Amino acid sequence: MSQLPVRRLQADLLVVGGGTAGCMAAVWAKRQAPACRVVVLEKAQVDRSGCLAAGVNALNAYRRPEDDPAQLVEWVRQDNGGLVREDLVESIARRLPAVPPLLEEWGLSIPRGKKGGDYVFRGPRSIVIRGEGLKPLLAAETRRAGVEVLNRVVATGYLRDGERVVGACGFGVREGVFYVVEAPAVICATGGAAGLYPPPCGGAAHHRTWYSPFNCGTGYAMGIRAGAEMTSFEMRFVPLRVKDVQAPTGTVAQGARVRQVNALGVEYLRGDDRITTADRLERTLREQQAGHGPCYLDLGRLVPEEVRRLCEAYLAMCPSAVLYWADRGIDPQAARLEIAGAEPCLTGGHAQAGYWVDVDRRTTLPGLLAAGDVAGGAPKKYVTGCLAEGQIAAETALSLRPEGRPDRSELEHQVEQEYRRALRPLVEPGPVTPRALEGRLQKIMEEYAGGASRGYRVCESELRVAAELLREARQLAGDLGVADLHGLMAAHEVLDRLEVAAVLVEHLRYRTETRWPIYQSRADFPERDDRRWQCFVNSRREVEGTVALLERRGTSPGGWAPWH
Amino acid sequence: MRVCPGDLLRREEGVVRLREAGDCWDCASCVKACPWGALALVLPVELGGRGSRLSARASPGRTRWTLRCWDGRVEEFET
Ligand SMILES: Cc1cc2nc3c(=O)[nH]c(=O)nc-3n(C[C@H](O)[C@H](O)[C@H](O)COP(=O)(O)OP(=O)(O)OC[C@H]3O[C@@H](n4cnc5c(N)ncnc54)[C@H](O)[C@@H]3O)c2cc1C
Repeated sequence: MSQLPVRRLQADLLVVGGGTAGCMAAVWAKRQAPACRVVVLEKAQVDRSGCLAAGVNALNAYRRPEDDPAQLVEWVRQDNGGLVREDLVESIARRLPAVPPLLEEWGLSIPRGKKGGDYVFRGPRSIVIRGEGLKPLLAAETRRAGVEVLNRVVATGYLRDGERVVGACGFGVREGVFYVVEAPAVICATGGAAGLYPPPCGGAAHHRTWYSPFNCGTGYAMGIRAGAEMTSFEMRFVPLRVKDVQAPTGTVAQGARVRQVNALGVEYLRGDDRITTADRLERTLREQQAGHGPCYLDLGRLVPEEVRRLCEAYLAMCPSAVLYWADRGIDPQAARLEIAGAEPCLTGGHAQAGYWVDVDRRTTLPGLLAAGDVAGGAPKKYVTGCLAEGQIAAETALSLRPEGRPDRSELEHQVEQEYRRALRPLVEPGPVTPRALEGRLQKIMEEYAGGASRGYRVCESELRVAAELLREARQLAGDLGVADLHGLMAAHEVLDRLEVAAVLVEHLRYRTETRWPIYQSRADFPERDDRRWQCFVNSRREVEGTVALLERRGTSPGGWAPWH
Repeated sequence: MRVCPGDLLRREEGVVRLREAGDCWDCASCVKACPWGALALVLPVELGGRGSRLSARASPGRTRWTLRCWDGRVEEFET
């Protein structure tokens, strides 16, 4: 197969990525404006795509209606080095109380506590759900709302009319069709980026990562290529997880008091609300460096009923954990789960790498909005925050008016160029496989950009090497070769990761302080420096291909004016 | 086959095959969706896998899991 037929669609709203935020955005738009044509491009299949594929068992961002949103903003700010977009966090906080009831209306089962029908809290801002089937529910609602979902279509690039984004292109990985979708408003919701650093284990366990290995930073890469402004890529996210199976550690904390202990059985950290994920990881690394590893979550003695409950909790979100215990054994008399830090990834839902957006979720490119893990500046948004952002983006999208007709011949020229770029590894295959180039990328990032084996620390002299080697690696991109459309998808996954990694390295180089230990630890600038660095580091790719860095300073909510 | 978030399952001469074990995320979407209950999750040898198998049957609102341990034990769960 060497050429693909082209199929053209015209929509009122195009959503790229039918995950958590994307499904909500599409449904929300149809609710507000039932007559509008909403199209979703989804590389997988909406019923089980993205971060929610296996399920989740909590909504980690929640606020009771009676609680002050400002409190939540303050908590997020303090937990994130005192630097977050407070206006964005607040806009999410305002919507949070209404999200769980909406999901219940759609069929989600949320357990209630004994007293007064309140939700069951796992922490002060997290509620327990029976969320194994959350994604199928969202997908069903999307269909019911009359959204047109194009499953198995891999988006590759935006269509532009000058600065304005007027649509996107992609290819159908199963049917072999090249899609061109035009729309006066486009919402990007492709999630974050996994696979920038080597996974914890290779071989048959290559994709046993915490973050979805199928979220490859395409939305970031599409924005970078189009010259959108990006923020805070240097704030990576590094999860502390149950070793090997990458299962979240919070799950076991339900009910029982769990101790975090080293190999000597010494509790080195007490479970207290103010300790951040990064603190827990840092203290764990310190124990290991002191020769006290491995470290564990100590569950104490478990009765069979508790073992079963634990298994069922994991089956609803990380089923391989249960296989792991079956194969490796877990002693109910002295149950402990080994914990370790995993590889860094980029996600605006836990940390804050992503598009620089205004409070209405407009990016710096007219016509383009962003929601969910791909949008920056608002850490700790999690599932519920992503859903809230989907709603905000949908409302803004509907308020956008098409600005004249795009220049047809210019548009056709772009379609032709993107078609050629997208299909090249298939049409003119070179000798380099996507897996080999991915290996190269991950090796560079591990060794020179603060991988797990380097204690996550970076310094200018190493980052400079990373930048140089990535430049070389990107030259190999033209030599990628694949045999089929599935291979073509893999080729784009690595191309997009390379694009994102290059920008990540420039961000890491620019911030010469340590603001977010582990996520962003500078060996050569180990202190936080508020006088110099109480600002966001943003970037934009210039026409010549260089990455321009800029600093953005602002104040409290309302301090960030929209830019159109 | 329809749901795999990685597009990893394909039919070859009537048999459904995983393209590449290392590309699987272990999300078990296919295991739950298979109408014949023919698919199971196993732990890779690299992670200490010894051959236990986890299969599932999903119906609206609930999923029944069967764990067949390497040592012959069988356990049932529900989520
Ligand atoms: C394993 C795991 C467990 C989690 N557990 C919890 C939890 O218990 N509670 C909680 O509150 N939060 C949890 N989170 C966080 C939360 O799930 C995410 O922040 C949120 O789901 C992200 O939503 P999103 O819409 O940005 O991305 P996703 O839901 O991942 O959606 C992105 C979508 O874009 C699609 N896509 C990607 N690239 C392309 C392309 N090129 N073309 C077309 N489509 C594309 C993907 O297939 C996917 O469907 C968890 C995250 C993970 C990874």
